[in-house]
Amino acid sequence: MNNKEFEHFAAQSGKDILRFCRMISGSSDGGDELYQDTMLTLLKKIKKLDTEQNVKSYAISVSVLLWKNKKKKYSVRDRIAATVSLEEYAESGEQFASHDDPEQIIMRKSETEMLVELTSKLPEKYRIPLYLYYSANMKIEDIAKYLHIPLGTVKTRLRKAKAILKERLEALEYDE
Amino acid sequence: MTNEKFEQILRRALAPDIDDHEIFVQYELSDETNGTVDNDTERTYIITNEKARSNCMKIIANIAAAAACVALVAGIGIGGKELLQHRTQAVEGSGASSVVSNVEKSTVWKLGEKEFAPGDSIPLTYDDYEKIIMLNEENGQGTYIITNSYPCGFELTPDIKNYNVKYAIAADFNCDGEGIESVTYSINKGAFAIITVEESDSPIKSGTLYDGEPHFTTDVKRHKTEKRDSANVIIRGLGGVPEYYTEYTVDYDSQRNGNICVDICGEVFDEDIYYKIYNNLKNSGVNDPVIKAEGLSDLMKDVEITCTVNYTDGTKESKKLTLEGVTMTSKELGRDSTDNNYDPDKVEATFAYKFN
Repeated sequence: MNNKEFEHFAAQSGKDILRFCRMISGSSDGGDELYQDTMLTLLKKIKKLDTEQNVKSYAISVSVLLWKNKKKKYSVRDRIAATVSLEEYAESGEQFASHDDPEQIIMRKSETEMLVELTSKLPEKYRIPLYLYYSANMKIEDIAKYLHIPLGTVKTRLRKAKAILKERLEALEYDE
Repeated sequence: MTNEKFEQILRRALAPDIDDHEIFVQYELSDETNGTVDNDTERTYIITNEKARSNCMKIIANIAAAAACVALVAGIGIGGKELLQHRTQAVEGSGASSVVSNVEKSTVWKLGEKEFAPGDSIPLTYDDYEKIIMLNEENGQGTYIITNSYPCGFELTPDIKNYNVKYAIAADFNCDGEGIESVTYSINKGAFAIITVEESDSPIKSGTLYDGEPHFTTDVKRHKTEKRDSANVIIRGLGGVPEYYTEYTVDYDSQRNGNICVDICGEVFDEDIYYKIYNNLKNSGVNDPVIKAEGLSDLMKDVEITCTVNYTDGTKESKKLTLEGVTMTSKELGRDSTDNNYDPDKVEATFAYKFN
């Protein structure tokens, strides 16, 4: 892969990879750092990357490996002080500046935030396929290859994960 | 809850929208990656405008590793370019206040802590902007301060598609003197981007807000820092967004209370300037700092800042400031000498304030 091809790859898959990084790291800042590290790792191996192969799957696997390595460091950092990025603040301000009804925005954000949190508490065997499918925008076939599990198992896990989440979300909303 | 609604919520939660600028990839030029020479410490960003399927190579000078790179590039088409230019032109000349008098009193003007006199040229260096800690020794807990997240006091954001360069340059002016009530700053092009610490007393007494959408100043990032011990520095997001002024007046007594940060922001669409600043794009990857400094001067050639001291007796004193590009060695710039790539004699370009 040359630089042009890498740029094309970053354009096509960068958002999916960044989204996945943010999800598994549980924070925007941590995810951004993980994304940079992932892409840097790929850049170092740019000549060995083959455009014919599934580079996105490889990038995801690199990010998972890096994340596992960094998990301890991030948890220590978060214990010291949680970070709030300026971008997140600005984004939230932007949302409220939209033409949507504020109540709807709050409600939507609340459901969304609850779901992000509920997902993060799922067992890894359910959580990772969800992230791969929704955040990384991977096809079920690719997830199966990536996780080295049968196609049917991926589908079952996704179905089961969604059933758990829906049940828990409904319970939370009922409580409120 | 219906399955359809749940699916919508799930997608919003797990697949939030991501802006094009967020997928910049930061790396240093090296033989390993592209065969060019890593001749300075500039970092290269790759961005792709997904909508237009157009790739842009972006080079941003002197960016803090911890700060996320923000650039407003993607999605700007020909129409967008015209719109941006129109907006920029709209503020030109709107911010400069007329100076009533120029009474030479004993006011000492400063950029940060550096004093200056008419004719002086003060460059932005790492020494001034990379030291971000101010300890409160009394309680040992550290003190919250706002800091410039650009290690050398400025950040440039290029857009190769439109030959557009956006800039954000630290403008930490202040002054010392007797009988001063307030100080007014105005700019004839672009705007001051001011961030105020949340829930703090702002020293800004009044101002003229920038009349237009502040599209070019999304790069402004400052951080509040806390140092809890000597080995542990924590950077927090400031928790505020910039406000944009073409003129503002600060109270003299609280001008340095640390509750605001000020940058000069703006943008220029010019292919020649673009390629002077990023001359390595046409120069086999080698960046000539002299050409770059020329580009920086060209970038700021129409920008003039007026600083006016308002004395309690009703008189005023003013100074005009301009910006230019200059070259310095890494040692003079105050780069980190412990860095593996540190070369004290390497020549680099930076901005300098010139006081007229």
